[in-house]
Amino acid sequence: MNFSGTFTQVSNIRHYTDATTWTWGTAGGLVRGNRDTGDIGCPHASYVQATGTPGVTGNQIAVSHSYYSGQTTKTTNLLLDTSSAPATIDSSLYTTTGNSFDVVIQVSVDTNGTQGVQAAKTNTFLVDEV
Amino acid sequence: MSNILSYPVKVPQLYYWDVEFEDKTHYSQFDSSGNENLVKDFISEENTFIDPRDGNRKVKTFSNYFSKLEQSHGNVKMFSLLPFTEEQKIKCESRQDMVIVVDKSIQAITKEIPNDMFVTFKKENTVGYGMSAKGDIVGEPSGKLTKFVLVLCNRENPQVQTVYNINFQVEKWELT
Repeated sequence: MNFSGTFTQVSNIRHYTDATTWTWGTAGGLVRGNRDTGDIGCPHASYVQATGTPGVTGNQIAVSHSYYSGQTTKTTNLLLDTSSAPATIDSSLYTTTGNSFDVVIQVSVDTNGTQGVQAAKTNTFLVDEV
Repeated sequence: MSNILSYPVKVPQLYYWDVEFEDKTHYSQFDSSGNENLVKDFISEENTFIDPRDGNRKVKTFSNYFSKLEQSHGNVKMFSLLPFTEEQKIKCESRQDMVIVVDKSIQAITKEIPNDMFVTFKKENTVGYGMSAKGDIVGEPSGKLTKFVLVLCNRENPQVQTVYNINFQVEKWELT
């Protein structure tokens, strides 16, 4: 997330999603990159674009994203991040314009997933400001 | 795919803060010309520290932001969240990151500050955005000031605190 505008300090950046699910099939789902300790967000410079063949295969965060692949718990179900238990993306204190750590999300679809346009999910960032 | 969300988005504001010192002087979030008094504009070095993560000076959250002003005006005796007036809305219209909402039905929230306590605060904003199954951001992100956290700290031992969460709910604020 980029910061701009008028503020003294922003901090404690958290993220969660709503309970909406998509028809991604038995083993499909929505995951986010996870860290064993500290902030779970990824510094912008460490972000790795997923590779694969569009519409066919994709490389998983747990395997191909170096910021997360070495962790014990490499990914977690994004739906577990809720308004009452948001994930801490970035605990840094920002006093000037810039960008926070990234939340890295990936959707996977099983072969029995149902084809069709999915409704948009609502994701939310929480930001403390002084 | 990497999407960049921008903060802040326009956040509706129904209240601004105001403090009254011992000598009856008032100091507000907005001056009479509509300019915002940011915390960084009136704190002293005592309210800051060097962040070991990047070596830069940062603000100590929940420190006594008004300590420098208290040296001239005495201790803060009253902290208020006051509803905006039409006049203030016009003066603040140039702000890109807030939408001033004038609602004559809302009441001021006022807290007396005991002699042995100082008052400090933070705001909690949310930025909601739609995400498609392809990972795109859908529509315009929306901002909301969800919570104002007012904290009274003991002057001798600031760890002794009384916390008031003022929640923004259904266009009204509730003190919890």
